[in-house]
Amino acid sequence: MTFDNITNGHDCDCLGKTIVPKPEEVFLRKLRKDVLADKDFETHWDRGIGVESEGCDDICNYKALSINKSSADIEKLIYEHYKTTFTINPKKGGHCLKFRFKENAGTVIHAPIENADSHYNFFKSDLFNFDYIEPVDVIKFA
Amino acid sequence: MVSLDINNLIPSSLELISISSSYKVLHYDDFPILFLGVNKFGNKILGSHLEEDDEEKTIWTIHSILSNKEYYDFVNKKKSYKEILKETTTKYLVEKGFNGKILNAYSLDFENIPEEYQPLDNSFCPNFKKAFSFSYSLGLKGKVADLNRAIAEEVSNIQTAFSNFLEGRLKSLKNINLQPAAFLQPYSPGSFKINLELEFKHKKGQDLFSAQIPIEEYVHEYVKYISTSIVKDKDQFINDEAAETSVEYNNLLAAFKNLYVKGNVKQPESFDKELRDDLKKSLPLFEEITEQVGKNFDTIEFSNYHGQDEEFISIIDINYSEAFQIAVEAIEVSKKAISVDDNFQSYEIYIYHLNADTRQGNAFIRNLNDQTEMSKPKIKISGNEHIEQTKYTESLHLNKWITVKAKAKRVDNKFKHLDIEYEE
Repeated sequence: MTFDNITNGHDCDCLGKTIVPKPEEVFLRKLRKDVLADKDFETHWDRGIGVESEGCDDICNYKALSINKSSADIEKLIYEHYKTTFTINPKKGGHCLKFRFKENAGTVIHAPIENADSHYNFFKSDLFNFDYIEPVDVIKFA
Repeated sequence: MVSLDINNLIPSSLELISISSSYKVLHYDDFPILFLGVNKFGNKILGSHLEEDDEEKTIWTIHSILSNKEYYDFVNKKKSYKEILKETTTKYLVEKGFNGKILNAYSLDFENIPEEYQPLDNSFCPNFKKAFSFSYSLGLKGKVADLNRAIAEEVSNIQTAFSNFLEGRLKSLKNINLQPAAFLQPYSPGSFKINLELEFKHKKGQDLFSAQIPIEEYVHEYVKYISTSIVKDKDQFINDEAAETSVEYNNLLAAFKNLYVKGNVKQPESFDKELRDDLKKSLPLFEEITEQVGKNFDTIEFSNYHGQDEEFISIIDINYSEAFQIAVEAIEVSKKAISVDDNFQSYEIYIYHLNADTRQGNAFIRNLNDQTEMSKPKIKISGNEHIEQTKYTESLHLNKWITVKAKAKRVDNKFKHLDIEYEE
């Protein structure tokens, strides 16, 4: 796996502590609509957000994608987090994708945030596209 | 892209809506979805993420400038974000660049927010982690305080009572053995702030665990409870057998238990009894703070400081202060012998505080059973005549003992109240 998109243009070590997700692990990613679209897996950096950042924490965060690692006992908690987004801004949290990663999709690192200990940052490999994920379900909160 | 017609919106000052300190994200989901902060003028700002525009490289957010009531109603989950947005008249649509810099701001009505972006009815404040510290600030607001000034005597009373209140809470922690000291810090404007730093050391030499004891959180919850919820919970303290306890009390109880669990300290027999007893003990000290509210300033806001960032705890006004004093009296008399004079009697008093407008104040009076000890009852002088240049003001200004006719209310031989008959 290569990560030129992640490592180019700075000296930060974004990938050093990341790991390859296991094929059986299930993750969740919020969607814009009820179907998966290219923009749903664009990082902030891909979109031009935060590209003027100088600190390594910011750069690595903007180059990563927010996902949540799910399991039977915490899945509802993660949905609650997305639902909170939905109650504040219904346009921003109506759906989420449940999926698994396929080989060479990229690497992940545990990056807990307040009220979401299951939060991970996902760094896409240079090869990444939707062929590298296996959709399980689309959950609707509306 | 947001379907907003900004041509119909009135541009607003960027200074007013920009967060300059105390920034805190309440909910994060790809973006800070809901956040708080304070502008350079000290106003509280509640913000939310609306939309991003990839073509224009802009991010749209809503910033609302909240009154203190709106702020506490929201963070205490009494009002939803939707209610706040509907009610507040100071809300703005904010346009930011992808670098986070604010580009433009426009005054906004709730109806201007496209329906698909309007918060839902259940958009209550998420639970969020508070930043606790031992740096406390008591912000006086309204009247004289808005001129960055305060009456020296009132400031002195407040800081003494709050210092004693803080120190007392730490000293009374059974088996934790702390020696606290509250240090006064320089006053600061906005409107007039009394600042205190609480420090403590362990009584018995080296302490292995005190660093792990979440004392800041306990004191924070304690101040919050006594300044917001104890009034409505007063029956819980009058009747010790009361089975029902409030959510707010349970939050404080949890913080109290945490001191012992996390500090690995020998636990008291009953956490509930220990906490109730301490709350009852602390009531008179906090009452002294409430007695200062209303004359030369309208409110006191309690907060914790972390460098320049402020973590707001609560705010008390004249209504809460009066309700608090009534609650304290009800709690104090519930377990004690009360007696009230049927007729006016002669008493020798020395008035040390008197509001000539309300005719209310406080006086010293010797206790009946022990003349070497004194009570500090509240006093109220009857009538409508001016009380300037009377024996009452003479007592106040010349520190003079005077004889008055009054009906006294006593609790366990201590004077709590004197209804004084006006005499020329």
